[in-house]
Amino acid sequence: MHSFAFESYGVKFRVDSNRKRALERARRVVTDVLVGHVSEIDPDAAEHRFVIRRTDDNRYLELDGEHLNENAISRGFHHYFSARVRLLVASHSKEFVFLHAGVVAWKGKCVLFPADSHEGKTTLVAAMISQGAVYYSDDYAIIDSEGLVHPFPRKLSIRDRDRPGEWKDVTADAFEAATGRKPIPIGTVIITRYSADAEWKPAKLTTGLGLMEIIPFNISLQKNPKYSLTIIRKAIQDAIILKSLRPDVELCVNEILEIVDKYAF
Amino acid sequence: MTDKIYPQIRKNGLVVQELPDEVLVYDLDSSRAHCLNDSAAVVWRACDGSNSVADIVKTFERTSGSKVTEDFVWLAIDQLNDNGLLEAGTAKRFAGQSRRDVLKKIGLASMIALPVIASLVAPQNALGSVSCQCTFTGPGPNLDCAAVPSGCPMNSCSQSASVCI
Repeated sequence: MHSFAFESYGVKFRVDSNRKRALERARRVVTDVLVGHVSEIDPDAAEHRFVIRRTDDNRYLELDGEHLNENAISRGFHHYFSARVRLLVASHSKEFVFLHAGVVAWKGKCVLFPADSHEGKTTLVAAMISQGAVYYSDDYAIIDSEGLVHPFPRKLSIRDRDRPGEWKDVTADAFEAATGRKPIPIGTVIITRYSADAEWKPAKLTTGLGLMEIIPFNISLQKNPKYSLTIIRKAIQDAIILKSLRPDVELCVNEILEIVDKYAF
Repeated sequence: MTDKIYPQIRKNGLVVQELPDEVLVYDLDSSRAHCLNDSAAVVWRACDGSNSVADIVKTFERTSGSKVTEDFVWLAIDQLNDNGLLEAGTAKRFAGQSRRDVLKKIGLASMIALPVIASLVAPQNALGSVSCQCTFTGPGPNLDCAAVPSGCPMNSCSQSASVCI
């Protein structure tokens, strides 16, 4: 077996494979999916173990002795593997709380868009950074013990206008936007999802109701409920929390920025 | 009758966050979050197993500076009970009555905000809230998924489906 081991956000894990090339590919996947937030550790110090078994016609993935997946197609396998790595780190970190959310910074404070997949996080984030916001993340809000949000600027996956039906991964540079470098406090939380006939009519929520609305997006909840809720409460206690359905982002991005300005600054 | 009832909040399986005018309670057993408004929160804090309903009324009046009836307190207790936030066995005052009738009756007599508990179900596990990424579980590859670098196409993405996490 060949091995490497990383620590990321306090989570120590190793990856073993029977093939050296498969391990090299896995290392690139892990580094990429964790946006470089990895540091090499001694494999014996790892608390979790992925195993990638490569045969001539298939790939098998295990985590901590449990068979997770098999896939003959490299891209599908590595998508799955990358998702499991992200999930492992997000759900097991004891130092950081991971929320599923898009994050941008506006005038030095974060604007959070908690949402599930396919509810338009990337679209919203892309629209906001096109208007001058600083890019932090289109996937996770990573909150430290002080309640500050750390950047996790993975590439944004957007529709490729040159190739209809295709997607491409781009950095914030493609929007002529800056990328966040340091942890900052939360100014605004916007709980929204697209609805075809919706109007942008935000209602201001209390901190308690806002915290309740955020809970479904708290990936740290299952492993660390008390700590994660305490940290999120701390992080949003001075934030403005808004909730509304929204139409196409092009129709409301300016209104969102206006209201962020109005309430939070 | 109410002098003999000593409501007690559940001791196990709850994560409680105290906020300035609210209480957030997350029920680990049911994966439900509950947000208690100020009035419900005052009653919640007083349900320690040593206070009768009449005692809770006094506590409420002392805390809020407003007069309330036992029915007002019972409205909160019934909601706490309905949401499984009290130890089992607490009687219900308004069992069988419509919520609208109860609110109407108490609301008209109340000068302060009625106790309200808002609730929401959180996902059972973290897999439900991570980005959708595809794999296949059947005999052949899911080519649609494999062709989309960012994850599943909308139609094949289901949080309950084993093909996506």
